[in-house]
Amino acid sequence: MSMPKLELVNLTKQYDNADVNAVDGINLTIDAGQTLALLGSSGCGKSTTLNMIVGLERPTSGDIRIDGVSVVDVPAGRRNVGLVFQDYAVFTSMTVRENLAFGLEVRKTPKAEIQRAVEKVAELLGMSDKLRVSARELGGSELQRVAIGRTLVTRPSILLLDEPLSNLETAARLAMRQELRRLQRDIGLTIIYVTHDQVEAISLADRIAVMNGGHILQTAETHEMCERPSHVFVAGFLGSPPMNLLRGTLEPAGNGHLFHAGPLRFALPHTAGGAEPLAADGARNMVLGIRPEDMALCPADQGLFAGAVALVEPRGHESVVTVDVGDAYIKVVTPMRNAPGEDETVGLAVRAESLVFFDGETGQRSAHLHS
Amino acid sequence: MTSTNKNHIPEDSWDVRDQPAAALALDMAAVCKRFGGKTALNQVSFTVPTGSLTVILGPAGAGKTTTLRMAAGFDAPDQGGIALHGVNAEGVEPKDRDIAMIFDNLALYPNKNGFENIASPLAIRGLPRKEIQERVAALAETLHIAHVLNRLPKTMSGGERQRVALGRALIRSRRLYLLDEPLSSLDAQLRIELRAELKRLQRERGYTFLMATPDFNEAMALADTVIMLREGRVVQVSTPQELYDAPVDRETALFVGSPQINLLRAAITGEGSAIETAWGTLPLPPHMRGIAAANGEFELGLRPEDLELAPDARTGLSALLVDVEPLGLKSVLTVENAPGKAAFRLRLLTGSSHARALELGQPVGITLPDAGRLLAFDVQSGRSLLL
Amino acid sequence: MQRKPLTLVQTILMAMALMVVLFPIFWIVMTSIKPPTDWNASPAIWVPSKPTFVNFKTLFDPDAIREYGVGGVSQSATKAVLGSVLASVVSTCISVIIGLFSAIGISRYANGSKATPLIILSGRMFPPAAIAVPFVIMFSALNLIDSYSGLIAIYVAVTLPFSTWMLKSFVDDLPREVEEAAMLDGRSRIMAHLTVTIPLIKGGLFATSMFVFILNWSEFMFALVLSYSNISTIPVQLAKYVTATAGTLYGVQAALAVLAMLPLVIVGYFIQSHLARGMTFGAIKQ
Repeated sequence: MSMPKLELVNLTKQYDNADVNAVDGINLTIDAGQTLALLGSSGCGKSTTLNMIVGLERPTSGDIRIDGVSVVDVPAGRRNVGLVFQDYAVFTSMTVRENLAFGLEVRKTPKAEIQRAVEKVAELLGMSDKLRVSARELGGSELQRVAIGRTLVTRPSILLLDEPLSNLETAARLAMRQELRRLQRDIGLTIIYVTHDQVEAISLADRIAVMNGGHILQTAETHEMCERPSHVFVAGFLGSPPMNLLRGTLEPAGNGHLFHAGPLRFALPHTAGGAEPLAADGARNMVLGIRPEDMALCPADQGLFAGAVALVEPRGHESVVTVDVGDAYIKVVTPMRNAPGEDETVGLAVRAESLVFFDGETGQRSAHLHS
Repeated sequence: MTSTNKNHIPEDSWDVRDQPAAALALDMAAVCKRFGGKTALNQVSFTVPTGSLTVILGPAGAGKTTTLRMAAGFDAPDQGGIALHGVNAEGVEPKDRDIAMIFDNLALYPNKNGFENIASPLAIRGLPRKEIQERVAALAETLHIAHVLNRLPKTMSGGERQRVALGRALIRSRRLYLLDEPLSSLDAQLRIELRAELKRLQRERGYTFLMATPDFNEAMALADTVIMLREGRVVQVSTPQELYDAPVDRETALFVGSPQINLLRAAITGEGSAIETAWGTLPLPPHMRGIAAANGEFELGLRPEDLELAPDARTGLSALLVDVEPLGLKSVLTVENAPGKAAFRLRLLTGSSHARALELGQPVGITLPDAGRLLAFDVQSGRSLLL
Repeated sequence: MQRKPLTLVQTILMAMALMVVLFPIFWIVMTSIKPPTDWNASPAIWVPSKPTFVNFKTLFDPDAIREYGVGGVSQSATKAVLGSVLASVVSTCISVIIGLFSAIGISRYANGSKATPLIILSGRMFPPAAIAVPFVIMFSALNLIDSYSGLIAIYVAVTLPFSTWMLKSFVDDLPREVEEAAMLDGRSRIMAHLTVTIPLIKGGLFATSMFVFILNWSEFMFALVLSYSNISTIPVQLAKYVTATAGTLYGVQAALAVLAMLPLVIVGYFIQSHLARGMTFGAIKQ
């Protein structure tokens, strides 16, 4: 087994006067050549983790190892980790070439070598014809390429990107996603993306680590995480729109189970969610998860749920319909031609096998599940 | 945020609209504006009906902010007229226009805390303290910013600042709300949640919103009417669905849709019964008969969502798979011509589990289930040939 | 950011530079508290063994120094000190107030003309010596010679470009949308500027005032040509001391110099962070 490229071991960061740790004992392993996205909302600790990996902040406890060697005491400039800032921080007073050469000039690399490295990176990023252009005249995605190029020139062993797509317009975003994936394929860098946008994370990284409140809730390969989120927070975070989550109680009843959440009650067959039958007295707090794509509109009396349409959000070829089922809102994705009008009463039909249960207390995907 | 349980929005019953509402909250007629040598707005005309949510959609620099500033009265048009609530607004000061605005750079008072920022319009009007506190608390609750009310803007995150700016605009009842990219600094999840909240607020209280955004997803989800603005010109005014189904030109078709619409050079052949492209030959659909294609050539538009991956490579038209981009449960496939053949590139969507079984470089078959969805654009001008 | 410790060469060079800068000040301060016997002593006396404030007393009571057996000063400096205070404070206030409203006007309401800042600044480009004589002629026609009104008028005129341009940069830094938000909240334009713009550039106002004050306080040329008997400022009075006694009254001259320096040192301390801005404003495009 080869050495993992980056390891975070029980990494913790505590700020004075804070009752909660910004980063609380996280563990993460990334192998060479992999891409990972650190995903979470503002304040989850991902930026602090980023800063600690780069060396801009010191961990309170725990270790950071690159190629098996602890780097906690190595100053930021020497860790061979490249960082591309969210707002690029490109030197607007310099040309593209000068920007790209900057890192190497600071390290007093011989001129010929700088020349070669700059030209190679410029070609990689498709900016060979823009080397003489002043950075002031560049557009958003070009600036980003310069920012990426500036770090690539110093040949970092790990590349970190902070919210790489957030400052780009939609069209440029798609192009840049492809660009980043191609880049990674061509030079095989180990790349970590830090973002709050799950679409960005899914489209850029092989693996995702979801963070909340300073903890990593799940680390998994991207498709695994999308198809089988192991934690209720992750389930509610990924997806457009994310999984519907209903908090309630599951109890055995007759041949199956009964789930009730507030005024909602419905019976589920045994096979729902692949759950094993509960013991006779085993009523459990559960969170029921249903994907918007796993439901279909039907007449109000035929579905598992029924309610009035609260909101219809068109998306072009499909619509997201929000239905008011009494104590909660359920979102369902439906083809555009089936879109109901607002205030119409509709039913929602669900395939029992597509239901997912999460434990009400721990948030973990129900242990009974085996699909 | 993981719960779909409801938040009850507090009722605002203090302000009563006792004047009869004009049919049009805003009426812009042939407005032109130049800054220095540059034309910012060129013959911009549109209307905003009272009680509607109208969205100005356009890329950066299109003139969205300029349009909103004209409506607010901060800049005056060089030519053309602006009428607010049925009355000519020329010379009317911003404070007398019965409007509220969220600026794209938020413009919070840096020396006042969250509470004072939101309360400012009420305080200036001299409302009693208790009433101000109640109203601010209720709105802060809805916007999830109760915890920053006693902090200064510089200690707040971008998302919190944005919501304070939203609060300051929404705290009072006005006949027109101008929202300049009101959700841009928010995290993806919060943005979606507040988007629905804005729509709900607007519906329940009958507010009139004019919103500017570069995000077509937002425009489609929220708008009653979308005004597509490009380089200072109004390109199209329609409902979101119409904008998607029948874009007025190629640029608009490219702007609205992700992944972007595929464009293929095409020629009408077979005495007007078929379309020939580098990808293959398709039968000419009924809605395209008789289009005014110059020299029989035009640009065919196919949306990735309308293409389907066939079960095997022999069904439909074939192409080579060159890229797979996962987007969650669906993936975007990029396909190209076989080497040596005429060049083309297409994108389509398919389920991610299916996509994972494919290999790059493998030939795939693609079908077009509904040819009625094809679009056609003039090669030179880009205008849609179907309108 | 970590400070790197200085190398030996850097330390020596720094010490030398500091010496060159600080020595004259040190000498003047020491001289101002030396009794007359120490003024011309040879070898030079660095720190007086019997420091005294008689030099300072003499400024206000010309005969006080006679007790040391030295001839008295020609006149007391009281008028000059008061005159400096009056001229500097009043002209600073007027200059800053006019500058403030000009700055707001130019920053918020003037579109397009890129030459405006340059035109304003050109007022500062004339070396005082070049325009001093024309001013004297002009002022004598207006009966403004030898009056504080005249001096204040010219101080305002000469510092106005400075205060306008410096304040304009502070107003520019403030996004105009903050005032516009206030207007939408219900304020009229003027009230928006008074309640929003001005409080938010308080720091800039303070820095500009201090800057202009320094300029006025140290001004010599105009004060010299415009003052005869009725008005006087500290720099002028210093010159008079030098000519009256062939420059031999070192201690008293030094004392007046220290008095002249004092406000500047205090002001400088408070605006040190803004000094760099003042010197480079306009160089950085916002």
